[in-house]
Parts: sequence; C-alpha cells; structure tokens
Amino acid sequence: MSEHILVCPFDEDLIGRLRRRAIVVRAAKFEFIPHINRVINEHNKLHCIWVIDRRKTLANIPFAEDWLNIPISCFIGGLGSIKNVMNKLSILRKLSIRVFLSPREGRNFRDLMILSSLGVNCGVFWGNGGNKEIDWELMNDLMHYAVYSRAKHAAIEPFDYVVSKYDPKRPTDFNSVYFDNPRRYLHLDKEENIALTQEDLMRGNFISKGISSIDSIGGNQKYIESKTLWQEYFFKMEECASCPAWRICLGKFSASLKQNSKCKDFFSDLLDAADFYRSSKAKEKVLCQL
Amino acid sequence: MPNILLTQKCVRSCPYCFAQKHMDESPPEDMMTWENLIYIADLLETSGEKGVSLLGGEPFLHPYIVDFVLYLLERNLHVNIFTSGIMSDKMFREARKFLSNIEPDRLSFVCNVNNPEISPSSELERTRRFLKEFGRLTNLGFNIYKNDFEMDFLFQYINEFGLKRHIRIGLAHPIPGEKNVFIKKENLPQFAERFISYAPMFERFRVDPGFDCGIPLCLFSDEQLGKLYKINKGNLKFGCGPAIDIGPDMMVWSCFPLSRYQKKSLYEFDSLQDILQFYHENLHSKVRIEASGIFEKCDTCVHREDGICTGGCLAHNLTHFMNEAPIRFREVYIDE
Repeated sequence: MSEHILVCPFDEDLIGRLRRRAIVVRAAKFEFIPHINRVINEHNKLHCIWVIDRRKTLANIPFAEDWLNIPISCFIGGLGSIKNVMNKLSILRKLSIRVFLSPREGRNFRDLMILSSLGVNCGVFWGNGGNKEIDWELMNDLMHYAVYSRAKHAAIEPFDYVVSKYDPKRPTDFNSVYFDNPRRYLHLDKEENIALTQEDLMRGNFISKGISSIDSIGGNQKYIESKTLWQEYFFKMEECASCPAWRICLGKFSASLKQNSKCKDFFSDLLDAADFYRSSKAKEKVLCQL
Repeated sequence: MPNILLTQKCVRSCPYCFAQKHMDESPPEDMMTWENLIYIADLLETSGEKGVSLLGGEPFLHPYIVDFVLYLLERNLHVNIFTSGIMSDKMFREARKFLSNIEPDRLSFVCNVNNPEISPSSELERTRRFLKEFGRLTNLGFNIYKNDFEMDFLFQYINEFGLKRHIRIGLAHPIPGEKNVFIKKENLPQFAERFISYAPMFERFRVDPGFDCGIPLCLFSDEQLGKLYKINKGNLKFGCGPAIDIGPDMMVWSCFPLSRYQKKSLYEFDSLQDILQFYHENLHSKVRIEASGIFEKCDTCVHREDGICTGGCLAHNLTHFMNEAPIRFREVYIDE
C-alpha cells in the first residue's frame, strides 16, 4: 500500500471507498469538524482536517470541547477582535489546531506573533498568489521571532518546518505544511482523479484516475518526472538557479521574481536560521535510550 | 516590577510631574506597539519576572490598552496600571466590560489622585467614575509636592468607593536641570512631621501607607518610626534604586527623574537583571560613591551602611552635581 497521505474533499461516498488510508480532508466549514472526524475514523485514519474559510476570523470560530484531539489546520481571514480571541484562549490552547493567515496583509504578521507568543501554533499560508504583495521584511521579522526568540512560544510555520527538517544534503519542501508535497501527499477529487498538488487538481492536471492506482503510483511516469522537475530551473539557468536559498525555496516564487526579488534575501536568512538551528541541536547532550 | 510606558501623552498637567521633562521631549505620536510589547513580555518571561506596570502619560489614552492588558495577563504576568482614572466614555465602557471582573491577584490599579480642591470638576467626575467601577482593584497613589498637603480626602475615597486599604505615598523629587515643583531637602523634616500627624487617621481607617522611593529614614524620629511601623504593619522601606522604565521607542532608563542619565536601548540587554545591574553599577553606585546620600551625615550613617536606608532620592544628588565643576565620574552628569 502506498504510504502517501490522501488529500480530498469531504464526500462520504469517496471516504467509504477509501479503506485504511491516512486522509487529509478539505472542509469549507468549521461546523462539520466533529462529523468529519467520526466518519473518517470509522475505516480510515484522519491525518488532519484542513479548513479554508477566509470569511472567518479566529474570534468568531465556534471552538468546542468535542474538537479535542482532532488534528485541525485552518486558513482564515484574520484574528478578529483580540478581546474575543483572549476569551477563547483556554480552549484554543487545548486543541490540536494550527492557524494559518495570509502574508498579503501586513497586520497578519503581528497577529501571528501574538498567537505564537500565546502558545497557539500558527503559520503563514502563501497560497498561489505569487510574491509581489508580500512584505518580505515583515516576513523576516516574523521568521526571526519564530526561530531566534528565547521566550517560550508556539511554532510558526513554515519556518519551524524548514529549520527542523532542513538537511543540507537534500532539498526541503515546506509545502508539506500545506499538505501539498507530492512526495508525501496526493490529491484526489470525488471522481477519484489523482493529482500531485491541489493546484493541479483544480486545473485538471491529473496523473491518474482511480483509488486502485494509488498503490502503484511509484511507477507512474508523471509521478517519477515530478520528482526531478526541479532540475528544469538549472537547465534553463533561471534566476532561482543561482539563489543560495534554493534548497529550501525550490523556486516557489520564480513566477513573480521580476516584480519582487526580495524573497532571495528572506530565504537566505531562513537558510542561516536553519543552519543555526542545526548547530544548536548538535550541541545538545544526547543520552542513551532507556 | 518594570514599568512600560504605553504613551507619552497625559490628560493632566500636575505641577510636580517628574515625567514632564521626558514627555515634553517625546513625540506624542509615540505609542507602544504590539511588536514591542511582545518583545518586552518575552524579555520579562525569560528574566523570570512575574509582574509589570503600565503607565504613561495616561495609559488609558492608548487605544489598545485593554487588549494589551488581556494579553499580558495571558502571558501570566500580574499587571498593575498607574492611571488618573480619566478616560473617554468609550474606553471606560471597554475597560469596564473586559477588566472589571478580573481577580485582584492578577490585575491592580494605582489611581493617582490630587486634592479635589485643586482638581477641575470634569477630571474629578471621571476619576470618581473610575474609582466606583474599579475600587476593589485599586490602590490610591498620592504625590506630595508641598509641605501643607492634605490627605483627609484619601480616606474618604477609600471608604466611599471600597478601595484597597493602602495608599502609595510618593514624594515629588527634582528633575535634574529642570524646574518642577518638589520638596526641597531642607523642607523634608516638615513633610515628615505633617505626614506623621495623619498616623491616627491611618490607624482609625485601617489604611496602610506605602512609601514610594527616595524617602530617607532619618526624617523620622524613633518615636515616629514606631508609629509608622504599626500603621505600615512593619513594612517600612526607605530605598532608592532603579525602577526601570521602558518607553514606546524601546528606550530604557532608571526612573523618570533620571531619564536623561544613561538612557539605553532595550535591545542592548539580554534580561531584566542585566538592566538592573547596569543602572546599579553605572548610575546609582557611581553617584553614591560621590555622595552617599542627600544629607552630609549620610556619609557616616550606620543605617545607610546596613542597607536600611539608601540616603534619599538620587535626583537630589545629581541636581547638586549640576551646579558644580565637572569633577566627578562622567556618568553622573546628564548624558546628552
């Protein structure tokens, strides 16, 4: 059986056909969370519920005790009233939730810092909009906070992912944070069309069809090609090919590089942070396992 | 407990104000930002500090003060707010809704009040409104800047509004190089005499006075100290040390009267202990080497040597140094 985690919409027929799989369910509403959890865990394993609802703010999400121990990631419109968020903190801290905000609104950087400092796991969700509206300096400030702050705080993604998973000998794809890395996740729709990324699925760029094909995906030609797609940057010698931070960015912002090339500085700093993290981990004492 | 200045603006203009000079020199648009507040909260947390005071100017002029307080409480810090109680109706409603039910062991106020006879009625009304709503969380603060001060109204406030039975007594100190109103050192014994005359009131109303910084022990006779001991329940302090104020621009200084000495960026320090040590070593100790206290007799005082008294407010010494040739440690002169 393939070890890929499947990312799919919540469709009970589809879920019924998927047996003993690890699943990320894309949901449009928070209210469905307990029901999705019940249905998925009947015959499959829920990896996460990925809720995308940009009309919601953290302040007006109806968090409930029955969400405890359900892994949830959400991409929402913002924090909303800080006073209301503070009221919900006691339950929010108990939940297995990660809150993503868009980096295309300046105040979200501040709000992510607030959340992290209050012990709520959170992150930046880049989406597909390119980088021209992104303030990379604010991004850098947030990254510095996430990696270097000595005070106890919750992880901020994808910085935490990059610094903790970074291996200088191979590329690090932080899209895993958004369940969008073909080495780990495959996307499928109700019709069982299978795609490498969520964007491919939306655009109809499928690599195969049918649940049964998932287990043999390792031999799928398009899947195999996807693993070496990154080499294209070097064949064409595009600008990203000369970026020192290539190994952790993998050219994600190459399409909008002409409008805003500050991503280079940011990812170079993130790479430094990853090295810093590695070297500080290396200094930690290692005791034998008991 | 360090002080965070949320804003440099104030709604009053008290004649004794020891923050006046600092505020005059600061742009009024300087307001504490979220990013800076988080940085400070992190620094306090890693320093093992359990509490923080918010002040201004008038901290309730900061539009996010309620959010800030709720945030700092969630960071497990006790929050103490120095206020005049004067705030807009909107802010008052917001504060009442979100702060009035917080437990006193997590949130407290020091409401600095002036004698009602010299306060405009609009200010008084707002202060009274504040005390009525937040009385159970509030200590009164009273700054003494002249020798014929009255304190009767403080007891009346405490009873009328059910305030905490403690009054924070501040003595107005000089701002070196400026002309604020304060009690000159030669008049301090009269202050002590008058203050002790209120001892029966403190006893009768079961209110204890807490001295803020810079009051020398020797102002009081042994008999007066005995009375103070009883009304203060044994908690007597005659100290002067770095208070640590942090401005919205992340500058840090020892205390308001000394805000022009050794002002530093908070980013130069790794912990609150580092800041305290810096001001002890580079300001307080150096001044005390030059002149151990505000009186000549401080040099040979056993109580100062024993650490019971620090010899009064450092600002008095620094004011004295300003009027002589610069023959001392350079740190004791205004650093501009």
